[in-house]
Amino acid sequence: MRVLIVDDSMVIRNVIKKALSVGGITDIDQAKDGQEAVDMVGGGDDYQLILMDWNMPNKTGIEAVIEIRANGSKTPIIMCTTESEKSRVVEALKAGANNYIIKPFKAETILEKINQTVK
Amino acid sequence: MKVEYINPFIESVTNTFSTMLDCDAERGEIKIVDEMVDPRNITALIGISGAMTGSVSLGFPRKTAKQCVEALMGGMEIEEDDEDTVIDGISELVNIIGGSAKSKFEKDPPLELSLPNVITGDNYKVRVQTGTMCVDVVFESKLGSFNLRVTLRDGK
Repeated sequence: MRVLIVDDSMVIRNVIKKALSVGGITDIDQAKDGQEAVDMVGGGDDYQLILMDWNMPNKTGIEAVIEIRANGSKTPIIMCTTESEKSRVVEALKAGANNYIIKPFKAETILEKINQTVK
Repeated sequence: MKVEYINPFIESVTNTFSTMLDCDAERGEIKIVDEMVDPRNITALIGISGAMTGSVSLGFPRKTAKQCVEALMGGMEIEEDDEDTVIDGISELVNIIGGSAKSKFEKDPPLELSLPNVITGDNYKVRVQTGTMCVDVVFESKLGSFNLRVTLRDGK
């Protein structure tokens, strides 16, 4: 499985990368903001999964999700964010996200959410 | 600031440290201060806006900050001169704590958080907005002690 981790924190990208490696997922690319993610994904489905933070400079995660879907990509997207209000979750799902991880998270939660999302 | 506004932030610190750092952070003394007169070597601060306004910050001695980020990264050792990684990790910690706490106020639309700002140095003072009370909470942990500081008031 090829995964794109999008987060402005290098530390959190490493935390997620380590959690994925426990589940045997090692084909991982990283983007440090929403714009970089949009550029890397394009309109294609080269990735099997995108893990997307919300609050990032240049382009937020939610803006990136909207743009990625508008570009035609159907790659599953899991938001991985501190934005935990119900209205935020609804907003993300309406924009095209497929699942939601709320920070703070335990490493095993990431693998559980991936199993729920990617069949 | 109503003093009870501090409670979601205290809960959030405790929960974040136990969930992501595998570390118990125990609340110590709580003080009301006009300014952050004894800031630690590294302060990470986030602004809060919307139906309530203010800020949340975490202040750490340099060694504690490094140890907290190492714990966040699952025990990965950080080089002594790698301040960028420490600042990145501390920024994310205050972001998670602020984000987790703000949801407990159940505002609609939700409160907004700024991106984190980090101040480093050995002798600086952080003043809060005039007329705003700052609640300062000391936490003790196996990684060292640190301070949570919150200013928050109703209205824009």
